[in-house]
Amino acid sequence: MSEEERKDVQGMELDPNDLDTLVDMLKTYRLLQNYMNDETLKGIADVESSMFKLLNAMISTDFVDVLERGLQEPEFDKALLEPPQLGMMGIIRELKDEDVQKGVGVMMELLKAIGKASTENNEFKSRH
Amino acid sequence: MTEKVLILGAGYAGTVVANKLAREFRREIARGDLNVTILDKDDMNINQGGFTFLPFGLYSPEDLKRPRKEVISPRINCVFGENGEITGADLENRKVQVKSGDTFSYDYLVIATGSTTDISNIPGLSEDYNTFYTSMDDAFKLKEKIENFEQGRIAISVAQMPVSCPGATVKFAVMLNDYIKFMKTEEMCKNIQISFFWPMEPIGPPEFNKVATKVFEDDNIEINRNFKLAEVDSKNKEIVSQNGDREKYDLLITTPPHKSPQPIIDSGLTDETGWIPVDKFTLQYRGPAGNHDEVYVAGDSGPSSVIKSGIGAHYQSLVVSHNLINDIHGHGTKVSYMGEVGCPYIGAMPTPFTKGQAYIPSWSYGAPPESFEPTRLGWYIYRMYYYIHWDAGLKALF
Ligand SMILES: Cc1cc2nc3c(=O)[nH]c(=O)nc-3n(C[C@H](O)[C@H](O)[C@H](O)COP(=O)(O)OP(=O)(O)OC[C@H]3O[C@@H](n4cnc5c(N)ncnc54)[C@H](O)[C@@H]3O)c2cc1C
Repeated sequence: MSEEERKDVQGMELDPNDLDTLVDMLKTYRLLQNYMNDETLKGIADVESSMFKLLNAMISTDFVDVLERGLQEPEFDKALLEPPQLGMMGIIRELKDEDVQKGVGVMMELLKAIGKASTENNEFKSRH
Repeated sequence: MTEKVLILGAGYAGTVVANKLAREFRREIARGDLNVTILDKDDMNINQGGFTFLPFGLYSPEDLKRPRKEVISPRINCVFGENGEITGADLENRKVQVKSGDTFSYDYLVIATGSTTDISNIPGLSEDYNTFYTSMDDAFKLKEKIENFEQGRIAISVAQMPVSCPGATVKFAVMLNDYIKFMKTEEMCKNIQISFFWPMEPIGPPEFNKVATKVFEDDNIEINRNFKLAEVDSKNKEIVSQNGDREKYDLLITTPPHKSPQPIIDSGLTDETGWIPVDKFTLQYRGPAGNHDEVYVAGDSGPSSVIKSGIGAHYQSLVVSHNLINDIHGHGTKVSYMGEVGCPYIGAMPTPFTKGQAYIPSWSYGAPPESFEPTRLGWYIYRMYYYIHWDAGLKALF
């Protein structure tokens, strides 16, 4: 690349390939811009809203931290490699384990919370 | 002992603070060490920003309202209705009274009761009051008037400053002009004149004024500056300025004067401007009711020197939340509000003859907006924002 071909843009040295990339991006952006109108933007916004809800749920709870840790538990890894087949007696036996009892307790609260939220959500949506 | 945070008002600012605290203090709330309560006189959150667009069919009512509880974390104790309607606040004794007669005490208070409109000091205005500023119903009534309007002068008057989102009426005038060109016959368009009456000389900060003036001139919208509305003579269809100037109109559209909610004024919390004074950086209460470090103010209720906008309310709420987090943890540090505000601008709305164009100029203490031009992507971002407002802005994600 000869020195003359390089361009100084606000202190940043760009060579013709960089400028080609920029032009390509701008032209492609125009394609997107032409696709957008006030109806398509509503659809995009709806997708974003759902993503934001999930993001909010994720950053607003320690459950994500618990899941992050729990999913890496070596005993869980082993179970995924060789799924233990638990019959009725096996389940009853496992229920004596303190961690299983806590897990069931947390899941029970989650079930209650989901039940409550479902009722509330129906109420909210009926008022939109 | 449980520490208590009490938030007055569950509009934009109150909701953001509540959601931010709910997230940060989830363990303290679960253990019963902290209680966060929010009060409001009703249980429906309305996004007022969307009113500007309703007469042009750009949003539907369901886009602009959500039950307050739907957008506030269930970790927050919500009290809405008569039990949440504030009638007085006694900062000295840390007590807030509500309409039902109950009293709420607090360790920390956030005042986010916003602003309200008051047309009582403009004689005659109530006899010819058309506005998009106050409710969805009013915006729809105005839509009907615009649709039935066939010829003459439409006067758009911003009565006095400050108002919530001073730029909203500017945007409205631009959209009205495009809408009329789109909806009316060529003959009618020739016979309709839009005149804009503004209570000050510049329309916002210098760069905002520059763009607004140019777009109005290009659109043939007549600008009347320094026209502070003093009276409406509805019989003769004339508006009268504080200087005694009289101007004819055929349809009058008014942005009404704004003030603090009456219970806030009656509680002696406001200064001579009628708004609540604060430490401009920490947003702690510094006013006629004394200096109160445990009382924060966010949003439209704040001082008259900061323009009232949802964008400003957002930045202020984040600072107030962060300072409450510091206070409750006992960190002894404060973060500062730098005066960040913004006021969306619209250069055109989409019609078969125009492409939508908008921009959101922003500024902060001592740093006016830089030069800007409304863009097409700006239009899409602004339009999209009101759809994601509920899940991004109000949830205090960023
Ligand atoms: C027509 C219009 C267009 C706008 N356009 C934009 C825009 O494009 N961009 C932008 O950034 N901003 C815009 N705004 C401004 C924006 O809506 C406000 O700045 C923002 O809502 C302020 O938030 P807040 O929480 O201070 O007040 P609000 O959102 O008004 O909330 C105040 C809350 O306090 C409650 N309250 C009041 N008094 C009492 C009481 N006595 N007891 C109990 N509760 C009470 C109210 O019910 C309300 O829920 C616009 C405003 C209007 C009116």
